[in-house]
Amino acid sequence: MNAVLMALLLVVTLTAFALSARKRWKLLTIGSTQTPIDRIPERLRLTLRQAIGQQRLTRYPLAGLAHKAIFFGFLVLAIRSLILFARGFTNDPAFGFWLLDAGTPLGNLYSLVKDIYIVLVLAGVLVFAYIRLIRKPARMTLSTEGLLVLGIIFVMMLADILYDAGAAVLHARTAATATGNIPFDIWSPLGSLFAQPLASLPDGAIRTLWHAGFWVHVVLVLVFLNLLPYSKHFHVITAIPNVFLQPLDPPGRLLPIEDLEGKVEREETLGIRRIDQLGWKGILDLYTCTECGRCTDHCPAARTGKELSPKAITISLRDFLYQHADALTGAGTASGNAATDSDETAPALHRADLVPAVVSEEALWACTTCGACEQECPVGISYVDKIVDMRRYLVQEKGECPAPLQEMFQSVEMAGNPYSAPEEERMKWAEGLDVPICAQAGEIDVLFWVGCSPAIDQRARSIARAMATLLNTAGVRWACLGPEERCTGDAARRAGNEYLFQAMAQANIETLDRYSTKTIVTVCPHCYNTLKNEYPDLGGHYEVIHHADYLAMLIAEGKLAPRQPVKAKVVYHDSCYLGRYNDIYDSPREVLRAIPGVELVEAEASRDRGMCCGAGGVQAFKEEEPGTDRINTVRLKQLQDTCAATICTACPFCLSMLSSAQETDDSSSPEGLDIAEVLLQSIGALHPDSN
Amino acid sequence: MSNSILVFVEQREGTILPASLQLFTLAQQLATEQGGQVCALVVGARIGELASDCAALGPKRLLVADAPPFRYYSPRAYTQAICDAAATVGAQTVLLATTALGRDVGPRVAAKLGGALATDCTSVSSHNGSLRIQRPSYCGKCIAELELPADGLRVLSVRPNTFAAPEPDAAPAAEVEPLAVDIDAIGSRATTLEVVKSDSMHKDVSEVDIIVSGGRSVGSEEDFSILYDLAEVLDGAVGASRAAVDAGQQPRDRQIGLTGKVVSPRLYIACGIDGAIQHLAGMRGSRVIVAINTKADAPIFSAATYGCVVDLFELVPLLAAECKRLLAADS
Amino acid sequence: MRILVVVKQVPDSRASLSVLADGSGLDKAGVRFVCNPFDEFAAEQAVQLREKRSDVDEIVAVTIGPAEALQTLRTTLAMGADRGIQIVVDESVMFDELYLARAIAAAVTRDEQGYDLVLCGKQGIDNDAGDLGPALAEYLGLPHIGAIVELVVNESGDRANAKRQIEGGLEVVETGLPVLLTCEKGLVEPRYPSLPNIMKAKKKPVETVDAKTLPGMAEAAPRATFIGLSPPPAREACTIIEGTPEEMAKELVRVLREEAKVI
Repeated sequence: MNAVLMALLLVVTLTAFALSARKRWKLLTIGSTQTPIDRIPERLRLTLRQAIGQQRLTRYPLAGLAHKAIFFGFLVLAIRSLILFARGFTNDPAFGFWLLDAGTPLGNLYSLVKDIYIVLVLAGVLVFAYIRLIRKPARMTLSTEGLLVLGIIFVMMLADILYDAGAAVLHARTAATATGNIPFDIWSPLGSLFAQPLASLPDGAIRTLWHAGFWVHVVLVLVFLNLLPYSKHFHVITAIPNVFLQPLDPPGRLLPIEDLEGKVEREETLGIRRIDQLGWKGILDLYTCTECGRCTDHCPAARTGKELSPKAITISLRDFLYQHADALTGAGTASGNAATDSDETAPALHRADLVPAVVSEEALWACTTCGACEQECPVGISYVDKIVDMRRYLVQEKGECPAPLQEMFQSVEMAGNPYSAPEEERMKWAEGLDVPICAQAGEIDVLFWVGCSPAIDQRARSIARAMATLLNTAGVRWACLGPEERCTGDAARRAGNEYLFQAMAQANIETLDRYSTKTIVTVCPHCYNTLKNEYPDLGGHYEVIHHADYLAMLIAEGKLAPRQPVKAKVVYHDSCYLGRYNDIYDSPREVLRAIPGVELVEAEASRDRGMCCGAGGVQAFKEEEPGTDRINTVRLKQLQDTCAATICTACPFCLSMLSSAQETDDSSSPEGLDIAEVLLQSIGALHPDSN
Repeated sequence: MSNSILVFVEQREGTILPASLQLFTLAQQLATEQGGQVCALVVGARIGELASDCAALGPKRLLVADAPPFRYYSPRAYTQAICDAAATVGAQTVLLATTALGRDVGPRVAAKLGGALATDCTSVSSHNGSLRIQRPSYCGKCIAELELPADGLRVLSVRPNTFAAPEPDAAPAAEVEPLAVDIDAIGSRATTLEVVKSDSMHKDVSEVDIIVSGGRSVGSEEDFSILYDLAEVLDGAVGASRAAVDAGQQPRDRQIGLTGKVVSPRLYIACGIDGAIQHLAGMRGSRVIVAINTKADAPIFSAATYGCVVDLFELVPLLAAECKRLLAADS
Repeated sequence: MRILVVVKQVPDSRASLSVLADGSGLDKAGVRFVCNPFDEFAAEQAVQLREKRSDVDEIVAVTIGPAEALQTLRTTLAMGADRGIQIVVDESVMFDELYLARAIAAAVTRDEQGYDLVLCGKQGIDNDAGDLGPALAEYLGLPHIGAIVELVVNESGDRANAKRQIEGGLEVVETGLPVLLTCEKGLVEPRYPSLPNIMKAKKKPVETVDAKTLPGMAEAAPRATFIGLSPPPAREACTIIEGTPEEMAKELVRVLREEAKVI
């Protein structure tokens, strides 16, 4: 085309982009913490599935398909853009890096594929425009930026067609067999099709159009490239790395603060106080957010009118980061290390405490840590760790938390349970049952970790009793710790009190190790998650089995035989800490299906889209933050909509939250039962509480 | 020989407290066992008429410190009055009722006179001239037994209703002796400006000794009025369960439980509360818990000291009436 | 302005307590000890005064009890007190709060500077007596205001206004400083000490002194003698009151008054 112009264009735009990219790179490296990049094959598989396979996106079918079209269109057309850049330097309109030269078999094939994707991309753009202009879902930020980019893509595609059409006309006219007719080229359907209306134009006009198509395409690609670092479309560059680099731990695992006392000693921040403490992965998260709002769409707090919106947290953090980008990176070079905490003398805006400057306390304390946001996020952004880290700073360094949590902390620390219950309450659940205690039992196969709620909550005690009876019926050699069991520290940890969590964990690990514990069964998903995913970090390594899995196994092995029919329509409510956190969806359903007479139905929101009961993330131990609804009443309504007679859970907290929603609900509510309680009804063993 | 027993008679707005009248029974008992005469001291402003009520309870000497500065309780002035009276009658034993005032002034008197002290006694007996007393401690989880020596001054405050008040005697034995207290010498810089009465509508659950609490089954904000009536009679406050608060029947600041306020009053009356774990965690520390609920298997009964399986709407008004009658009879 | 905070270590109120078989005291096995909750109000009030005003020079925390009470003193230091005085006494004198008050008075009057505010808890949840505050005021020759639920200290720091809880109402009391105040629930919400503050508290100066070595305490002894501790009449399962509603009302009021002695 025009080598000078092309070179000039590339130099200017690529330099501009390089400068932007350098700025973003510098900002990325203010992040103080290092995330290890390990387990590469696993990461590659994950990236293939989530980024290339677009697995998360298609959870919203229409938008997912449209995005898939545009995403793959971009991959295909990226080659096209490179070819066009090259053609800018040559006078060969067929140049395609030899391999893809027009007219060669591969070149033809590519040309056809490219045309197909142009159509798909155009369709995708129209779908997105429809969503943005007509459907206007609340989850999305309906910015002009979004429309502008859609427009750019649309015009870019049209320009490409125009370029091909012009070329087709010119080709037809210069060909040896010029007839004036433009043949339909199966390898370039769009170009030859759109060439028809141009056929009557004079050569000069065609040439102008052809040039226009070329330059518009090329310029738009380069303009778009330069827009990326300043817009939500930065994800075009960062999404794949972000997915690749996301934590591979089970979603329920919070990372411990290592050397807690040493950190205090050295006056290092505990948790996250300022933006530069997010870590580079945290900042990459902010770069990557596409503002699609799927996180907020599924956030139980946001759905019930709380101030929390995961998307808003990311966007406010990102805006704050960009707003103070110069100061943040400048400070980094001036003091050598922007992350040191000692420099408290000049409180600059960019060093402001994120809570409350960017995230309100009300939003922070509204999170149930249910993980629905992370489950939905198509680009691998994490929320729970950031929220807990911000709580960690507030609780541990400022001593600030909702008042009831103080009481809970003290109770956990002093009484070993979060309910302020005297210690002798812990074994009352076992009264009248044959419950072996580790201190007296001989060799055991399984340690039954009861948990504070099943040990102390009057309602939940029946779960512990049912489980004990089932274990006895199945002839399992088991025992529990009895009075030596103490709170796992889950609630304290989710509330940000890492110190208390570690103290509780160490005490429990010591006890468990004293009895050479190998296998633990528990009825509480919160205990399960903590024991299984978090205790190993503190040196406690056990095989931990949730009772849903364990009961399913006992049934499969024939050790428990549910024979008596339990005639009921049952809906199973997924616990977040069991499902999303630990991928246990099937075994509780298997247990229920094994019971004759049970008709299992599903709520509309179930499995990995099941809505939280409202208990997690320490919400069970504080007042719900202000909102329009209570989470448990909304969830109860969803379950009631199935017309089931029984709501089954596999978590004492879910059961408690849904029961307390029933208290405030006048309608005749379905009965709430744990899977162990239903199974016991069917086993025929006398229910311990039935007389 | 100074072995008199001085009863400090507490009055409030011209009425002698029943708890003070009950002290005369103990005083008489001690006089019989250990000798000495029963004397009484009334302190206040313009309390002339009270003297005859007091005289009817049989003190041998009756001192009255009647002066404007005694209108409101002042620790130093009252301490001075009691110490002066103790010196005047040659007291070896000073008896007070365990009220806010009794708890406050007793230690000062004992400290000032170098005596022995026992607060909130629930049992007192003579033991070779010394006194063996029992008093609840550790939030009522234990009972401590102490001995106050036979020699030297002894100050005892006695829990109300430990003794029954004696029958008034028609022929009073004592003349009223005015007691002049040199208040100016104390130079106290603390003065009570006023006493603001609080009623059950305005009392905070975390600051009272008696709580009447309602669950969602109370029904509505208006229906809560019967709970307020009972609380008013008992000088307590009204609490509510989370369900009742969620249903808008009571304001959030009255919510008792794990997620609301954690309370440990002397008496907790749970009306129509089933006793979810969150609620129990907030009131388990109460000394005495009364459960009123139609469901005999409600968890609240497992935490309660006394239980009534009955509709709260039937029992609560009767309870208020009965308490009112009894408390009226006291005064 | 100098503030003295008096704190005491007590068994955690959630703990189930049992008495040693011979009645000689509490069975301490497995019992956790904490700062007396009412004393925490006192400590919190002191720290809040410092946060609100510029004239608080020093907050000194004093505790009295067996050697282990140091832990409680550290908690108070973690809440914000500057230094501590630990008076060590034998456990057997802990029930005589007059004696404890004398020892505290003897310890703090060694320092001639004196205190403008002395803050105590309304009562310890061990003895449930509340003798210590008023007795200490008497020994220090200070006025006191008991069981306060609200406190305002004027700008010049020489007068204070307090509200105290009494039966049936609130008493509004004005006083000059220095004064001793005992703190009731509702005055302030004690803070949860932050981790850095807990760590810093370990380095704050604490003077440990044996009560017997304090001026005038060598010969002093408790005036009351401890005889023993006994468990209360077993709190058996809930007593269900039967009958017609009228009978129930009568019986309930009777037992509350005569057995439980709560009304």
